[in-house]
Amino acid sequence: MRRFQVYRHFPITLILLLVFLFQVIPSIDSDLSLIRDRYNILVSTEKNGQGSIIRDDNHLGSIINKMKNISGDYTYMYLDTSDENGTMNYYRLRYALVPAKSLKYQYYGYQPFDEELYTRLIQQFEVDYLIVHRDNGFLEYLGEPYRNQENAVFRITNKSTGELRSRVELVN
Amino acid sequence: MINLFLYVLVISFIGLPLVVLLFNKKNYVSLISLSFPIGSVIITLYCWFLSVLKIEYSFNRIFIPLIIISSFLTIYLIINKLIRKSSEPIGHKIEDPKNWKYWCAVIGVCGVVLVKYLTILLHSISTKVYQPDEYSQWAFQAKLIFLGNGLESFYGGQGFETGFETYPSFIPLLAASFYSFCGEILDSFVRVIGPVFLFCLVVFIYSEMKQYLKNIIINWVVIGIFLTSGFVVFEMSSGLYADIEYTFFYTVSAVFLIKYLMNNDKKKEMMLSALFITLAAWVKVDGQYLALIHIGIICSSFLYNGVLLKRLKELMFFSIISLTIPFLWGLYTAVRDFPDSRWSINPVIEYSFPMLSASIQQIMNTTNWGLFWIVVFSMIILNLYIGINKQQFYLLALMIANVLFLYFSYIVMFGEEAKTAASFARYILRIAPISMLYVSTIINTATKEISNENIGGNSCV
Repeated sequence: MRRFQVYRHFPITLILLLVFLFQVIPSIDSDLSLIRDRYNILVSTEKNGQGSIIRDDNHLGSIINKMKNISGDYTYMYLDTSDENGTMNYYRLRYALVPAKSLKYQYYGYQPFDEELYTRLIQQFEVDYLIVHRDNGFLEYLGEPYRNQENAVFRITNKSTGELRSRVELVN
Repeated sequence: MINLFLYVLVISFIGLPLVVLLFNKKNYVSLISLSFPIGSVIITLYCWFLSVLKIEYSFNRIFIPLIIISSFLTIYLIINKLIRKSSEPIGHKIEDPKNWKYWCAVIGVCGVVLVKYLTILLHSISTKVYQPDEYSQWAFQAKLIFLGNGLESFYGGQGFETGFETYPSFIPLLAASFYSFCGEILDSFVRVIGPVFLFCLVVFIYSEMKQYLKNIIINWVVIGIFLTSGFVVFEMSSGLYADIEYTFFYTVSAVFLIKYLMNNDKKKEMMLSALFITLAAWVKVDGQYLALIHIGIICSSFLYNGVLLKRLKELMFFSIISLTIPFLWGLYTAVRDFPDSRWSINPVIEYSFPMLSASIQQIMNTTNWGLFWIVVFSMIILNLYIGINKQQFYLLALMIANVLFLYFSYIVMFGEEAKTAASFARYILRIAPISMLYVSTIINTATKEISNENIGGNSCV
């Protein structure tokens, strides 16, 4: 009986241990690999700076680089497709470009291009740049040579009314 | 990297004197688990205070005064010998056989838990902010606070809107204080906040579990099941989210609430519970509603014992402390005309059944939570079989009240999102640590019952 008392935790320990192993075994190998890989990244970060850190905004790199060359205060409008990636890309870009201002009603940047609406928004919010990551119809509207030129930045040369096509220029 | 270690040490040093003053009878393990969280609260509340006075943030204005004050307090406490070893034993008597097999098992379990923790830590600090809430809210606000040298630099409109401006600013201020400490934006290293809070939570919960169940291996296995449960704990602990920090403060508050309810003479426990629930409300706006749940539970307990009128003063004292930060923050955001929250009241009763179904699916999905909640549900069934004691009743009441609150907020505020019980698996994280305590108490009771039956004692089943 004394022996039973000593081991009375055994059944519950065994059940919990099995649950624990059920959760651990499938991932332990990938956990160890992750520790090894990430440790190397941190060692590399110590030597080479933050460049080694993993990031998920590489696909926006060319836009970010172009915009970071622009000095002074400016407001931009971000154009993308209307899927979930469009919203996330806007957040990525907004985070990278702070303190640059962006359009308050960014929602319209994911919608199919509408010249009249865009003209009004550009005037209302004094937009300086249009940033096109994926074409929502705007590049199609501009026509050649801009068609299919995604990751493009356009400067608004004149914020008044009139044909939008004639009031934008490509930023290299 | 050195900045990262120094930052954690400095914040812990800032918190240490207050922890010693508040918990002078606690052991060193508890001091370690509470120093960083309390330090982080001090620094964020101080930053808020600077904003009220419209003083711009800088390293000298934030860190130097706090380090000086903490140094003086520490010297004072050392002189007064207040930093003393606990009167409570750090470890309780282990009832299991201490043979080599047992210790091998303990080391094995602890080793796996350590591997999991290292995975979370290294995953966290080697990746730039990348999750939706980090980009759109927490890390974004932190960056604006740092660049604008003030709390209010992020709500000026012009594309800086997050919809969460009236949300308490604990996480953005803490992250911005890290940037001020480093003098630059290191948006991978700032994510260390999550793993440090997770470490503090695990240490705190283990020290509490030891008081319920005197078995090292079971306690670590339960903690291991929590840590290795899956996506939710991993993501929330490794990213710049508010959930793990919120869970920490809520858990500490709940633990002290139960100690207070179990022994009504413990006024200090009541004060600590109220203090930590107001700190939870400084991390997430839900904290103020959970404070109301605490008040409701105390009220019910007083009513049941027929002492409500006699102890009304205590209840009022608890209510005032627990709602202090939400009240002051609400006043501040109203006076400074912060933009409205994106949440609004819009009850949709017809989504109740889809919401229930979706929420159960989320927590039973092993990708989200592994078998953690299945273990907890099994323990609830076992608890019903062996009988619920007072402590288990209070733990269960807190858990059920939280879940009911979540359902209520879905129906009242979430609109379309209620149908899918959006993020339920994440919100439920707040009661996971007290569920571990609950599991410990049941195992303790159940094994006593088995023991009593086998030695011919009277069972209370």
